[in-house]
Amino acid sequence: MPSRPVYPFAAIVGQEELKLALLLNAINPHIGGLLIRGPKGTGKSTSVRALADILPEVTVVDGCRFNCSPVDPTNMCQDCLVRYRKDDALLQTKRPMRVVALPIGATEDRVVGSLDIEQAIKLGVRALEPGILAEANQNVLYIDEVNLLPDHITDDILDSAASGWNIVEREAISIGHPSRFILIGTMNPEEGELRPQLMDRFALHVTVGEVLDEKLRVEIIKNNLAFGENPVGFTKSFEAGQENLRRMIQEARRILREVTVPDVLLEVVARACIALKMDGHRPDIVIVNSAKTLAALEGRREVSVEDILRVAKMAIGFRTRREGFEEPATGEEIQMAFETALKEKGLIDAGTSR
Amino acid sequence: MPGPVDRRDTNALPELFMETEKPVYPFTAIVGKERAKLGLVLNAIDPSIGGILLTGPKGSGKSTLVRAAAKIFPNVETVEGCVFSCSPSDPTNMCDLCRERFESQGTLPMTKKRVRLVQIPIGATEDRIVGSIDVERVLKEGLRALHPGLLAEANQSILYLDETNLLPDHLMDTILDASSSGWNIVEREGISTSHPSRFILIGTMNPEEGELRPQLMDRFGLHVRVENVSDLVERVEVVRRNIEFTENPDEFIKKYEAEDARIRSAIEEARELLPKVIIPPSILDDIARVHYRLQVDGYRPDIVTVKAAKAHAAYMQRLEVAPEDVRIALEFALTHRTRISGLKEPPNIQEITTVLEGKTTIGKLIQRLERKSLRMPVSREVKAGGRLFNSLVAFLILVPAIALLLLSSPSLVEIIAQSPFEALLATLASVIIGVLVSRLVHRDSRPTRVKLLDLSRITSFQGRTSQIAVEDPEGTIRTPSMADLKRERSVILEEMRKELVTLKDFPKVVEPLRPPKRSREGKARRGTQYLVGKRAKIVTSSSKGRYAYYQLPKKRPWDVALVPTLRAASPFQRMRKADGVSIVVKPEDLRMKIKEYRAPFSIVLLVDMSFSMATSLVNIGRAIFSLHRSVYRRRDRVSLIVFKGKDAVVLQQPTTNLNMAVGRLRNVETSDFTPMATGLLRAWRLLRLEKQRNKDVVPMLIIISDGIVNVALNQPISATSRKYYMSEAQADVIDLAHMLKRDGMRVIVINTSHRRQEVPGDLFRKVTSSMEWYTPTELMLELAQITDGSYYGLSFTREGAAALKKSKLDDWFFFEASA
Repeated sequence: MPSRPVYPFAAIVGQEELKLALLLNAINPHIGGLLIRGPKGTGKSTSVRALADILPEVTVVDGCRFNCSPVDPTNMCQDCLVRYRKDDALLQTKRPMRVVALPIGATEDRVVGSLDIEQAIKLGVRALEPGILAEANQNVLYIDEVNLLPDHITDDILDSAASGWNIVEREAISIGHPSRFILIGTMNPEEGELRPQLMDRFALHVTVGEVLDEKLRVEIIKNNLAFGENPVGFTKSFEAGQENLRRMIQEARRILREVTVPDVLLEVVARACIALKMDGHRPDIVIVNSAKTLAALEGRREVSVEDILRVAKMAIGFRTRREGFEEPATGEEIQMAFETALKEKGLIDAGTSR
Repeated sequence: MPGPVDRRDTNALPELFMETEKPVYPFTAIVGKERAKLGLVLNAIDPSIGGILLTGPKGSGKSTLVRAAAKIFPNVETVEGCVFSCSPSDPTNMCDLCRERFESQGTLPMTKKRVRLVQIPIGATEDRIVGSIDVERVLKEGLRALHPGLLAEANQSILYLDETNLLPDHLMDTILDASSSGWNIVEREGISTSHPSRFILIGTMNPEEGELRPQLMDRFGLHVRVENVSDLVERVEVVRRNIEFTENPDEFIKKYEAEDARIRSAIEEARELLPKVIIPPSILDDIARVHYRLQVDGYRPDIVTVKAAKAHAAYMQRLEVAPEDVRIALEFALTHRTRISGLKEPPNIQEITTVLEGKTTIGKLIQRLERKSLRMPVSREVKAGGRLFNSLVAFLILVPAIALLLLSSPSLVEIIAQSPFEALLATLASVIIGVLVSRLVHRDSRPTRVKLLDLSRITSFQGRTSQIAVEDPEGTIRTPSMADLKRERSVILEEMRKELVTLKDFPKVVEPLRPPKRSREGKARRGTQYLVGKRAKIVTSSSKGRYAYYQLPKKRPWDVALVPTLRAASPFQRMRKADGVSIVVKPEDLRMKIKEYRAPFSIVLLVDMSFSMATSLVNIGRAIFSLHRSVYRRRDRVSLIVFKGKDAVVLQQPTTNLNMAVGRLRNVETSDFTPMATGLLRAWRLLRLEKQRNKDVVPMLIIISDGIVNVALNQPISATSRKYYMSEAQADVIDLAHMLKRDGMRVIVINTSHRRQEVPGDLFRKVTSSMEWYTPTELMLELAQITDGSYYGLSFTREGAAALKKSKLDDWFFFEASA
């Protein structure tokens, strides 16, 4: 059905950590976004687009510029809400999720929205010209090279990502609209770092490097060539894998609410974070949320020790500590901290929870 | 179909809007953070305390606290239908309309409203905060009416500044004006009006991102630090509750509704009690005494302490203020206020406690010691008298010793006995020897005359690379100990202003008096004068900055100046056909906004960390601190790159937080080799990136080195240039200098070991070989020359060098240009 086939997610070779992070975020956007670090040409945008292809469709209000949800009143713009309350029928339509890419050199007006001057002059009405954050509602917002974006724009985006709302207060307008999206950013660390505050707000970080394994590299090249020559055929051959993934995501979303975290594991996480001197509460919360989502993805209703260990590095391996005076923890440090915490609580490493 | 309804339109059902807001985490559900909660409660009880600033690391829950607190503030009485939420009972606090009605009718219809949390988003423009002309009404009715801004919405409510330290200065100033006067005066776009704007100012700040100017911090009544939680149980509970809230917000909120209501009514009761609370004169005295002892600036803190103490007493349902209330109030009111006109850090809680309990001898003793150590870093001054004394002693000891020696030799004695003349000669000889020896001793013990460079007194400076004529102030040695820079920072600042190298003068001095270049896109940078002594005011057409004036658009206009446009269109209305449109605006009427923006500097400090630089470290740290003041004010970003060994390392990414930069510097060790080219390359990359992120930023590189480079890049910049230089390392440096010049980066070169004389051997080398070779000093000069930058040469005096050899490793000296 889509006009141009997208490289299938199931066909991506290697990059296990990246794929996991993408899936987790897709299942549970509450985790808080993903930042992919790596040099150019390592398949970042390919994987993001591939992801969008296996995400379930969204239901939107037909004709609404903000892609409002027709059923959830906490996710409606003023217009839609008024009509909803009056029990006016809100025409619905289903749509596949899109990847809304933020262009380089985007100005704040384009991102947040601004005064619709045409309407202002023609009709004498203060109307909002929706920006990218409106387009991104219920979609995926993809920001390439987020470290090159001017800080204030990144702030605006992260604010919306955290609260789920975009509040526009500029140029004689004051309007809020829902803005819930899966946030994925990329950056090349050699070109400079993000402010620690902004980095902190991307919940997970994954570093992609070049694939050094010869066999894998060959496979990547082969796949790429095959896809280039015959996109439709290539995608078809992975259809089973894609369907499987789609199903897994839907299932995971369904059972996510039922997943529980044993108290003792909460303590383990807290202990490890204290030992590593992490700032604030986000590290703990992100680890727990991601672990829950991972359990859901694998069809389990209880979080295990494994889950925690698998997500720990993505969740905290980049956060500066002690208010910036200490570098982020390394993989080994994280591993050690968790192992110590597990031992203290009497849980064996690599075992299952109690 | 018109677009979405403006959410502040009073015609829209207000209840609807409430529902569309995101569920708020309940106040009483917040785990721990008792002090922060108390601070917020005190402000709810008495809004005249002046607001509160919450500082703390990222993710510590500051925003959550503020949003939750807004829900427990008691409702306020407002005039029904008034868009400014005027108070119905106080005529001095009413907008014009309300006051007129009040005076004619005697009463005003009143309604109770929930306190709003009005947040100033980071991207807010000035017109949204202050208010602007109501476009709709102009176009529809031809009336000039005010469209109220955020300051109007915040009247009798809360104004919330998240990440206060990142708010642009001009916005901060506007807000603080209203905060202190309680009124918002609007004079823009043809509107001239004012309205009440009394709000509780709440701000949050993460010190990792940079600090807030002391004047701004001072405006907040109270301050509380929200720390990281190290208690296991507490931390776990936070996570647990957070998950519960995310999964089922409505139920969670219901769980804590009763508790929240209890706090709300406690606050209301306290409010009723507050006017009756008395403060005993002895306690007032105590408060004054403490403020005096702590040397707090001004009287505002005293007032705030009193108010906070009373509010606390009221909250505890007491009618009289007790010492306990005072202690708590002091901790809130003083920990963010600098002292002695900003020269001293704000007091910390221990200090306050100490002074409070100052009646004990121990307390007094501690105070005295602290005062002593704070006045001055431990320094020794070698007195001038010492010299004379030393040489005298030497003389007195030596002469008899030599005499004794001579006399003890029998043959000599015979000679003396035989010929008195020779005896005299011998005595003379011994005296002379004695004098010579003592002179030697004298020389060694003479204190090194270290002259300190005071750049603020530089006389002739052209922006070119000629050696600067430096005045030679009287100097004495200071031997600072390796004391904790952080603790003594404020004292160091004071000293630096008087004597030591202050880099803050560099930007002043570096700005060339040249006309600006046209930027590539042809955007007119009108009226740009690089004002010496002031920051470059760049007039740009970017969307940052303050709306300065308007002009005819040069390209596709996208920042329309509405009122000038309408004014331009109005004379022609009769001639134009109104095609179902209120006012006909043609392209020639469009006027574009031009905004003014003060460009910040992005300063890269590139520091050589090879062994020879070790002595200058302390002073480099001090010099960085001297940048402090201007960095806050101008939002400059400072980053630190060090090079040593074979590599260059970015120790500190661009930040407005200088503490961090200096902190990092303290932990660096020196090592062999000097890879200056690598350092320059790293710096160049960093500045390019800064430029990309913010095209208005002015990139500046300050390089501190002794010029002895010996490590080249792994790959040369240009294939050919290495052929011209004997040293590859030097070739690379020259190449990079050209790159810096090409990209318009300003450079300041500080050579820590400037030598004026040419070593004859080098001269010889120059003449005989066809390749260039620079002495270290020449290299630094060349660097400055190529980049059109400025050069500061600092050199050792001979005595200084000798003293250096003699000094213990703990003593650092700073030497500089002598005559």
